[in-house]
Amino acid sequence: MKLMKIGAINLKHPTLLLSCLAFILTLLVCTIILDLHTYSLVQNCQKLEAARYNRRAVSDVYLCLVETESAQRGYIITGNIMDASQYYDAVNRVHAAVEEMHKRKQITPDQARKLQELDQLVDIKLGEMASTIDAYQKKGPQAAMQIVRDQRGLRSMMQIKELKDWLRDSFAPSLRDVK
Amino acid sequence: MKWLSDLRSKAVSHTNLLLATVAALLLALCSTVAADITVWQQVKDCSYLEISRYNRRNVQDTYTGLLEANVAERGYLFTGSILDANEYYASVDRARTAERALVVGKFTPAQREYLADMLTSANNFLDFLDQCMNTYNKLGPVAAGDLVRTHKGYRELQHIREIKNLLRDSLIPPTVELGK
Repeated sequence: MKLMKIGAINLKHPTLLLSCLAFILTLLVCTIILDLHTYSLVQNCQKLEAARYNRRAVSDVYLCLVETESAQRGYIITGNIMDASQYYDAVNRVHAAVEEMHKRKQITPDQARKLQELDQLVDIKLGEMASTIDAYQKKGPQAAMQIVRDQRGLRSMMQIKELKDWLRDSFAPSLRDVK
Repeated sequence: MKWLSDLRSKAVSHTNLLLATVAALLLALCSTVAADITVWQQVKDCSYLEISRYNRRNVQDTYTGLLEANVAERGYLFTGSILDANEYYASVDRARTAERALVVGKFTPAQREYLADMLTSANNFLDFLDQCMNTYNKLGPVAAGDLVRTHKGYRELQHIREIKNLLRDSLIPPTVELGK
């Protein structure tokens, strides 16, 4: 009887053992697939993060520029020192934001070209605003208003806005792009 | 009797192997459960971050819209040009759209207080800009300039900027809070 029992264990165990091994193998394969998915997810997250960084940098440049323009116009109307100091603060913020924008990550050649254009337009816009401030301080409000009235500033700001919108959209990767 | 002892030792080694396999399986199960919990936590953190980003963007867009409206209004006071007037109305629309997106966002009670404050100031600011535009149209640039020089708009915009910064900072979840 004892012999028969030992024999039965011997026969049953290999089948159970094989099933367990098959299960472990399946688990291993599942784990590898999960790892691969996680790796691809992490890569997508990095792409999204870079896109977000670029979007934020471009938006910040635009926002600082609008702040500068708002302060510049305020100064021309009021001649108030508060507006003037706000203008100079805002100009500093524009420079800082442009520097931040230069640290852009993972961009396409098209985006690089547009960023360069934006850079040039920001310089033109800052130059135009500086000239109005200069005219105000040297020749008075009428001279400064004359520069504003020739709409150069408005045109360059519109171009900057268009570029900013283009860049913002191009930095928003769709789910289709994130593969 | 050697064959009997061989058979017995084989059975013992199979039992040990089986026990080891079961232990390995249990370990694998535990690690899978742990991984699942981690992934679930990550997904929760990601949605929290996503909400924060959405709110931050709307705060920024509202503020940008207000500033653009301010610039366009001042441009109109200088030039009286239809281009500036159109730009003003478009900017006001953008600010209002961003405001509507902000209102439906998810916020903590403290953030809601900031938000209410910001929106009240934004409304006051837009009313003031409207007033300047109307004054220009009815009484001319000098009267509109006098109204700007009361600095009501300036003070309101300063307040909006402060609240915007507070709200923006409160919308950045500190790293330590993630994973709780």
